[in-house]
Amino acid sequence: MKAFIVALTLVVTSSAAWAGGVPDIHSLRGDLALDAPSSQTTAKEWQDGEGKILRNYAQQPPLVPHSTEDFPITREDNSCLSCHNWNSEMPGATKVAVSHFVNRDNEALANISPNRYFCTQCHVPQTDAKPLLPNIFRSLADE
Amino acid sequence: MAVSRRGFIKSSAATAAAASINVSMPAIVQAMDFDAEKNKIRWDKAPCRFCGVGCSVLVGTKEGRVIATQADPKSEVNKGINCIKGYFLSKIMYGKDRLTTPLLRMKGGKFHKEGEFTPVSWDVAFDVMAEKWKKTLKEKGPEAVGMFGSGQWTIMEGYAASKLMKAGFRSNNIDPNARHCMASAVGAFMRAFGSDEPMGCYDDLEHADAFVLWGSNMAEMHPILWTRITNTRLSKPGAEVHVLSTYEHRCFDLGDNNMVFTPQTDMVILNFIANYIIEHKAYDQTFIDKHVNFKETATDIGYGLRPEHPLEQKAQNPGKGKMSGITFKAYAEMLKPYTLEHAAELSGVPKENLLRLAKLYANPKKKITSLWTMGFNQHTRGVWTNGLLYNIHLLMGKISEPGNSPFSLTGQPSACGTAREVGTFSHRLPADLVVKKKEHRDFAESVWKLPEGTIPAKPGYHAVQHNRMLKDGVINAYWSMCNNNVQAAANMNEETLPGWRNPDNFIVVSDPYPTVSAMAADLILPTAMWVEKEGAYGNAERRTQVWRQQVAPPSGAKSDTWQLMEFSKRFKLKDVWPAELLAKSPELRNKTLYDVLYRNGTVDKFPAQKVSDDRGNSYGNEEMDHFGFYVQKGLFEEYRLFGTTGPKKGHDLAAYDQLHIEHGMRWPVVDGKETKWRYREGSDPFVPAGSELYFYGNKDGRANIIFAPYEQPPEMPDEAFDMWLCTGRVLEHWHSGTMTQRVPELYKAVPDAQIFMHPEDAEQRGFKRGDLAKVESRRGEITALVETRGRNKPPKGLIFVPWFDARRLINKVTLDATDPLSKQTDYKKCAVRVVKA
Repeated sequence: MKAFIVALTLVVTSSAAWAGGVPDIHSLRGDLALDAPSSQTTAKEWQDGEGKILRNYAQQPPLVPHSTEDFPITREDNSCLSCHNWNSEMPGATKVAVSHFVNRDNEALANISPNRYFCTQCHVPQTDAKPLLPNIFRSLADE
Repeated sequence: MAVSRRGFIKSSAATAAAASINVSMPAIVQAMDFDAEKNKIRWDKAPCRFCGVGCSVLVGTKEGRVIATQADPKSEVNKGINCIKGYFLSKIMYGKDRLTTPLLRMKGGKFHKEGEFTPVSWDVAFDVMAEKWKKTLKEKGPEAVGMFGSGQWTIMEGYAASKLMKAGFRSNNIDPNARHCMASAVGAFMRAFGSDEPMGCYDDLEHADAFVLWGSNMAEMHPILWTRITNTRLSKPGAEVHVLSTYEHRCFDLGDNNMVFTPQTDMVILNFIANYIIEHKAYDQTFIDKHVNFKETATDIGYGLRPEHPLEQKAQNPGKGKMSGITFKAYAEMLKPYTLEHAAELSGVPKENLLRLAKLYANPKKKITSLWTMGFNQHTRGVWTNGLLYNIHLLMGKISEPGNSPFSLTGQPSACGTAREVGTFSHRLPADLVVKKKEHRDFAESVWKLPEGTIPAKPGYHAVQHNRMLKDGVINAYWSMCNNNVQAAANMNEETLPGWRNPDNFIVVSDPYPTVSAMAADLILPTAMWVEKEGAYGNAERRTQVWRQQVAPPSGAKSDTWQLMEFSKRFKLKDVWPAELLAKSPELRNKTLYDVLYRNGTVDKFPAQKVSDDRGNSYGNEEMDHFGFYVQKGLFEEYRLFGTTGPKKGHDLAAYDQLHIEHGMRWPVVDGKETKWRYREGSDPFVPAGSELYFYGNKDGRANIIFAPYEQPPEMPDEAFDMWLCTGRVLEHWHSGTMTQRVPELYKAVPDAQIFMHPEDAEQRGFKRGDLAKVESRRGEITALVETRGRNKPPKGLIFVPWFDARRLINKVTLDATDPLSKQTDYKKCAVRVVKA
């Protein structure tokens, strides 16, 4: 194997022995040393009413563009469906995809398949938290 | 979601148009023209990178990058559905901070324990590392080197690592993070059935009439199996779901009989049910006569703490797992104190709920699938507790048939396939063999073409012991792969960090990303992940799934297999083996570990070839290109000999080439056919004709009902630390969050670990929802936001805090007490207080 040498100017800012040194190398703790107290944080707001969130690819389940805190799903009642079912009249609400009207044995059903009943297993709302670092995944939509 | 400005403008008109005609339109439609050739995506199957369910996904690649993932419609496991994590697999490899060069702590141009991470070449990295290993082996011997592995390693990686440690360095100090996750399940399987892993399979989820969850939040941790249970519950008349937990969670939304019990009293409830069955003579006498033995186990066995801990000093039989035969009558007598009243009093569960549950198990007509994960396994009496549930199924004969299934779920994607089946534990060898049995070592040495006596007989240090031995300076050279144990191991302040940063030790971490563990290491090795390499995983229903390399890793990152094999080239046998062993095979003296372990005529049996599928696509294989032979196939086929020709029957895996075609197969696979229900005639080919059911893991073909009493946990709330702490996961994040916290959508869904708390507990302490609070134990503290209305609703006196968040490390707070038999940590119970931050 050919050895390679990377020239790098080290700017050492950290005094804590367990923090790691080179500025570019951080865990998700950022500058916090491993033995330091937890990072500060504040409660986040749900993204709400800002319109639909674009998908990264056709097969991705749509994200929920609103808070779901007041929409419980129980055995008796799935409150998501009051707006999102195929026959709901709520304008603008994304309707459940036809893929959800097929059961495990690939039989077409008149209503949502029971194995798709708990929406939150695939569809999640988003807070206003700023991502910890960029993700360089490239969507076909970006091309 | 990152959308370019141009892309946004272009697609927003379409979105508006789509909204007006009331259909949702994926953005990519707008970004595409309809040129079939140009827009062609190559789709190929791979198991999901996350949990033990083992869903199959289709990975879409274009121009060397993963551009989409979707659920595999041909997979029996998930039939075209994923959970939210699975749908975002496409992004896990593309965090901006992927590591692409080895990083060594250096000062003044050379390694220094307190130095700064500095980029070095792979040659320099391995030179420094080999020097540390050689020095340690020379000065202190094989027991001073160690490796921490993973239930997320591919089968071949785990096998290559186990061979390097157990046969190459002759050290059994290799243990996987599965120790934290599945060890109690393994212990109980071996004690009851003499063979690891479930007898049933996921088909039970459609066959059962009733489901009982014992310490498993499947709605979040095994979402796709939960879709199957939901499907059965909502579509099968009479189906019911019973949920037991120490706090209310999402499974309660489906539950017909929800029970919140006081931590540790699951043992009391289990014994009460067994007692109920016997008192009402509901048991299956014929089944018991033919298939069951009764045993009791040594009691007062301690808590796996350091031997000098007062609780260990006080225990009568610390670590003792001895079982003695008893009669059915004696067993029934031992159960007598476990009355309905006693169970209700200790557990806090209302009598009517307990009675409903007991009646369900006692009903011979109801087919019951019981499911559990960390609630049972991360338990200081985990092996016993797993066993107490088998007792109930065995009393009723509800086992090894469609729908009747005590089902131990796994946490990790290859906890079964790699950690358990390959045997990367400190006491195990492949296919249920153990290092302490000479017959088993002899067999492993014959497969590996190594002289008798190569594999040491003494079990090595287990995972929790690793950190203690690092702290004590007993292990000095340590390699951690494919996991993040500084974040994962309990009692970080008192054991993990002092161990890893002990100046006597040299610690190596292989990881795709700079994890908390990487930051605590001395050398970081940049690692290829998931579909950047060819691999295989084994899921919780004994299903082995193989995948091809889909994309190349980032330049500079190498797979674990590559790292293990390259590192092995730096050792000659005369450097690492003692004279008496070399004398048995003098021809090996000047050979390298690489020659002996991986160029032994078996691992390198398959020449380099083009990897292609039946649709005309071709695939890369970095390891094949580098080493010049089909590394993954050779490792797998050599490993497979343990199942097909080894001393323990019923562990036959499918051939590697067949696994490339099938969407997974459940072992034992004989004559190309998989097994759904083990031990059952007609389903399992190893059951002798006419015996109907035969637990062949045990010599007499019988399973063991093992009585064990309720014993208290090591730490309970008191005046100073007045609440229980339970830790665990959330749906959106996988384990320590290394991958999922780097996917913006998953991060934004659950950005912070919160303190799930009862509103009255919060109010009493002066907290409102969203306030920052401090969780303190005798060992450490974190701060996090209080959540009183979240998905988890603890009872008063208990909080739940997930462990994915690197910025608030809850394992500074947890206690490193283990089940003394399985050595698995109890992450579900310790005493804390919640105070103003």
